[in-house]
Amino acid sequence: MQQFLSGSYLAVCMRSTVLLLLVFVLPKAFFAQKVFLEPFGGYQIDINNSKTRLVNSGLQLAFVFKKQKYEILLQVQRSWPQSARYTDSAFTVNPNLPLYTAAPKTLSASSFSFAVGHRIKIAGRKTNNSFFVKAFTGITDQKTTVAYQYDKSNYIILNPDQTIEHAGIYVSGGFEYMRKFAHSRFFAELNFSSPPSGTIKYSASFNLVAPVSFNVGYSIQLSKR
Amino acid sequence: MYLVVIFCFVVNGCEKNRTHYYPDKEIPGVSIFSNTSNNVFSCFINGQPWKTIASTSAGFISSTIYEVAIYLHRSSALMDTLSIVWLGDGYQKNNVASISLTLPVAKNFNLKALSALQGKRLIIDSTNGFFAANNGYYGTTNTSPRGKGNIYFNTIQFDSTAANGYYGKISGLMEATIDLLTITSGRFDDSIGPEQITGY
Repeated sequence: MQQFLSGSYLAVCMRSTVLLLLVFVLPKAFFAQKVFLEPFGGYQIDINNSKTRLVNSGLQLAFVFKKQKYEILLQVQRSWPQSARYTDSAFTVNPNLPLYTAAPKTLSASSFSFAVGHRIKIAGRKTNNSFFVKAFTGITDQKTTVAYQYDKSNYIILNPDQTIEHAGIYVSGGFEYMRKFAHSRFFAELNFSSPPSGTIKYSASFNLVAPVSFNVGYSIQLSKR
Repeated sequence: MYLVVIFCFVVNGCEKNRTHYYPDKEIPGVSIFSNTSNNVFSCFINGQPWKTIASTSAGFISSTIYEVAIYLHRSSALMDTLSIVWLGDGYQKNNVASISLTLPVAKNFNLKALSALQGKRLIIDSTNGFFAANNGYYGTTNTSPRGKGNIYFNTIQFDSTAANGYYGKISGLMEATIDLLTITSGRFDDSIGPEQITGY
């Protein structure tokens, strides 16, 4: 998180995002017909790392415009790690010990992101059941924590992984089903995200996370003009 | 200002760093143990970190630098000797300019035969080879006593092309005692081209 806030690259990203908000989003949001607060949660798998799983939670503000065909979304999202177990190899030159030992490894990926998005209705204009497409652009900070359990005093791991934190810009998009009630809405979505921009500067065995999310959420109406 | 930039460009032009030094988080002071041709050897000598010189390919006016060299010494004795020499990044704190492993080899020795050592851990006891910590680059100033130790070759492979000679890579772990010097936590990961092999 410290790197997330202190990196100069990220500072540029954050300034750009704030500028984007000020110029394009907030003026539009002022003219929104309705505003919804939308907590959501779900589960994520990772296209780039087959064993990575995350539990996802987030909160977004939805600014609904005339005829409810288009909405602007401001989203904050936190993905919580689910540990994935692997095994690396460790060796020793001590002739009194076996040459090789297994080194169990646990990888835990987590992320924090902020994004601005669009929700566009594509079906169900005159019913309570609607379908939307969504697209987001934002900044994300990912951290993959690496923990080893082995005899560290006698063995040395071959090609060890190291905990890596990386921040960058990302885009995402997906489909959403929404059920409308009197003053609230329920939604379920499938969302595909890119990994953050940039590359890992280490020869790690894992890649930056590119999550596929299945989320469910609830819209609570805050205001109506 | 522009002249300075152009001068730096000319001096360093096209020079490429072949060494990738990734610090070992478990043992600060040495690189990770790898077999991905990071072109680095690092260790502790009497507790002080020691590493090889950064390997770079030639620029416009700079020459190629290698961190490791292999020498085959022909002699009139029953066996010839093969030395793997890691060249230090200067003398560093321990006055050691290079560390070497010397092994006896048959007269008709072929570098491809070294592949037999892959995955093997050897006890070097001065009769079947020796370690040395030299105060000069090998072949110029080698005054080191012969040392004992252990070495593990995770990778050791050589192949030849008819026109260009041998290419190979080596990686592994080592520890040694050479007179008053104790080498610990040694790990090496090198790619080797024909320019680094002498005596063939």
